[in-house]
Amino acid sequence: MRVLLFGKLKDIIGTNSIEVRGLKRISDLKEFLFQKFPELKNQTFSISVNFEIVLEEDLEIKENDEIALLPPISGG
Amino acid sequence: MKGKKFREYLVYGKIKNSVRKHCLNCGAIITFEGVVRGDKVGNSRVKKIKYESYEQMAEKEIDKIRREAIEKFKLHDAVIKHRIGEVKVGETALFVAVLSEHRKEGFKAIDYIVDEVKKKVPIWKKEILENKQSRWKEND
Amino acid sequence: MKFLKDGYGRRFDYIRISLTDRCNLGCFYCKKSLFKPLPRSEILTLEEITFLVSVFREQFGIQKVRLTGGEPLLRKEINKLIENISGMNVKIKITTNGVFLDNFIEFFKEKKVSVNVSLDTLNEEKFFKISGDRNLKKVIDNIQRCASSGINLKINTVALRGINDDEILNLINFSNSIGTEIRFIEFMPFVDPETWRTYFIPEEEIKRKILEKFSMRFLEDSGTAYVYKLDNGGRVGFISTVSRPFCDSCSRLRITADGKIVLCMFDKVSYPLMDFLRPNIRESDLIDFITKVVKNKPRGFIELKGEPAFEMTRLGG
Repeated sequence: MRVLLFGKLKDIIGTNSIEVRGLKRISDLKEFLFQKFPELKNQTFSISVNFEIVLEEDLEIKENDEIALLPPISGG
Repeated sequence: MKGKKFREYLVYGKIKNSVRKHCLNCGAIITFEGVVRGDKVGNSRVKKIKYESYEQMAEKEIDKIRREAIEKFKLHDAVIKHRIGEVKVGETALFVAVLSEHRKEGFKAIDYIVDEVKKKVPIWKKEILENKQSRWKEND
Repeated sequence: MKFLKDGYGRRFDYIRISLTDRCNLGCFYCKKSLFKPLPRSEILTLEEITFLVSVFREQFGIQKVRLTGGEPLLRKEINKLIENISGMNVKIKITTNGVFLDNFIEFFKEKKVSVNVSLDTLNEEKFFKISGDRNLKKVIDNIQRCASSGINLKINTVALRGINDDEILNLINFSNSIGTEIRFIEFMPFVDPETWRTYFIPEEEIKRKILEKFSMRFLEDSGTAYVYKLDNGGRVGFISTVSRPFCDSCSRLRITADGKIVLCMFDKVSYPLMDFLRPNIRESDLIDFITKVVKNKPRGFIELKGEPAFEMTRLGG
């Protein structure tokens, strides 16, 4: 599944998208990302799945889901 | 008005006029432009802002906010446009126009819409300073 | 030019590029049937592959390129691709199932392409059981022709308990007879744990079988394979990801058929490159990105153990 990165997170990880496999829940994804990119631990961000912000950590994620890490919004 | 500024006004004029309808009850067209400020940052100033967006989600959210505002404030129409990419100091980044029966609800709607855009729409701004440094900004 | 190094100080000098996710065989351990073929539009074009190789060569000093797949010989215009990269001063290698090799022998000889052919059995029925295909005779024929042509050829055999463990000596005799090196590859846990346990044979056991007939003298550690010389002069290698992970000396970076960088077969993350290639090529952004991303290479199988996340079809071995 594709994980899109925006704003500061894009700069930290170095790209605007990565592909991950074999992760079943949001909590797994977070754990994996923190382990892989420790600088993420200091960042605030929310997670969207298929364009909707999700809050439940044990939400299941499927192979074709589009996930995005969204830093605090600063538009307007 | 010269060149680019004139073109911009043309665009904004178009946007504003897009809410103007053949409508017997419409008494107010209210517009808002969010303009880029040249804030002082350290010993430099903001030169321009680069707006980045999660396009598909942003469109969805903007649409939602528009529909919510129309319903909540009984508007006859509303239009919300946010520029993406580089916007210089003094230029407009966010444009909102509403068409309402009376001005009271129109002003409230504008306020609501701008608040919601700043809270919900996945757009991020990176301040690019005169001294070429840049930083990602966060809304309060 | 700056050599690419990961966070553990390992230097990259070897890229493996998958030219296609299609394969004419269906070897059960590759699980091809589980994955939908990539739409053509998502596969790297020849120009894009050529460009990537040139970037890795010019900017990062990569010395070796291995063309993989799926089955790389299925890629249209592979000759054109090899023509393009043969002028770049990199060693070109290819891994193939050998079915179509006869069409390429002269060309590979001319372009000095080194060839690894996968051969898991000498038995037609078993070949069919493993791959679902009946072209074994052609493969063996092609291997022989390739060997006589003077191409640098090696045979890769995945050791599968209950399938080819009784052919180890036969396979060695075959490769000795044509003067090539054969490498036994430990079955990697790319499948579910139960299947893996059913078929896995450790290097030690393979060695024991060989020692029943031959004596072996350690020759060299090629980085991936431990190579031995047999008393009859033949060479046998062991690529043992499980028993003897060679992660610490890994210098490999893989690019999938759809343009994603995979730093380790056992990693869960891959890094898409398409944004740097389409709609326009952004070379310096790409270079910055590669430099940055390689720092994320995990320590390897030794650290990540468990089911690898990537399908071999898009990655090549």
